[in-house]
Amino acid sequence: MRCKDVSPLLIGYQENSLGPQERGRVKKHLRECDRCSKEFEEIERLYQLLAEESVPPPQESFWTNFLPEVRTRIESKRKTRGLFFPKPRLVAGVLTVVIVAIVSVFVFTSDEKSLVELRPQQMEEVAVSTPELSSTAAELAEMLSAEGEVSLTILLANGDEQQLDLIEGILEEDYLSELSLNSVLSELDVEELKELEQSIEALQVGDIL
Amino acid sequence: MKDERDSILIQEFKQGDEKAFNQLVLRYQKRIYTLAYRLVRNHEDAADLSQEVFVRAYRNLKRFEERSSFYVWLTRIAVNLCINFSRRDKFRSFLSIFDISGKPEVSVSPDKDMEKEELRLALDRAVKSLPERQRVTFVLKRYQDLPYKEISQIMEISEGAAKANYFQAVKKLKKLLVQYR
Repeated sequence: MRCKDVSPLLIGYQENSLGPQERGRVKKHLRECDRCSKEFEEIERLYQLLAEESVPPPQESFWTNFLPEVRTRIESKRKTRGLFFPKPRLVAGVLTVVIVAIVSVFVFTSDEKSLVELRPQQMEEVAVSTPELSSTAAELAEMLSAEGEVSLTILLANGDEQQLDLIEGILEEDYLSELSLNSVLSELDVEELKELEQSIEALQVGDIL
Repeated sequence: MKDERDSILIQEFKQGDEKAFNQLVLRYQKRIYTLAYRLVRNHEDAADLSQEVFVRAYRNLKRFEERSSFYVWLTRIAVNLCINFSRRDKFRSFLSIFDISGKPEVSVSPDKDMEKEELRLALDRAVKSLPERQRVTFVLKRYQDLPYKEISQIMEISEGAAKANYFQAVKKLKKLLVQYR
């Protein structure tokens, strides 16, 4: 066995996670090779250091209060959700749509044209804030990922309380939003997906202007 | 691997039994706190984050379909919360460069064992200096003793990538902690 083959196996050797044959070969090599033997000693020492460091135990009262504290937070969030305070990033999205709306209205009033009379180019500008409505959850996921807050805002501007709750629930969870939205949507059942799809299909540009 | 007791408690909670959720908290509070501590490396933030993990779990448990074990699911929530926190913390640290009245980073009590304290601080610095994925993989493997398969599910990476992250983390720690050997 050559050093370059042994080196990546040393951690596994230290952790006893190699198969018996591989372990035997590494052991034999370590007996014969000073360089790898030294590297292995360094790994062993590191593991010793890591083992010496433990998590300082919190006071017992911390554990006694842990569950009540979790319950208090759940209750307080439930009340806050009832009042519906959007998160800053959602507020930013709302502001974006408002700005787009103001610009669109300005264009509309200055030209004295109705929305339907807007030039195709202007329509495209408006359409930037209005995602292509899709019929599948996967497309919805892509759309939301691509369009970001603006799309969310449209949903927020139009959904009823239950829809908002559903959408907010999906999107505000940091641990979920770190992942792809496809994986989030895959957690929803058929009814929830249909509900989401219907609420998006019901949206119109005029609703937000 | 799924825990049968967890599954029963989850089903009871889905059927409206709030006490079942309490049982789940009591079962996992220590492990989740320890994980959060290993990732953020101080009690206050670990306490706050670990409690928040259960709040998030409560709000999403009805949608949890047990495709992974409850503990792996909780771990995934914890990891993502801690990563988000660390990113914010890094930004705050960056801003604090400009704050000349800021607290010193190191505060060692004279009563404490200096050597241990020194080692702790060195480990703090070393672990915090690891790239995010390496740090999380290292903690999940080394301290939570999770297999690469579960780590790969939590981190949404391949098993090979999880292994590579871990090996790189160990290599870097070995290099960074050379003076303590």
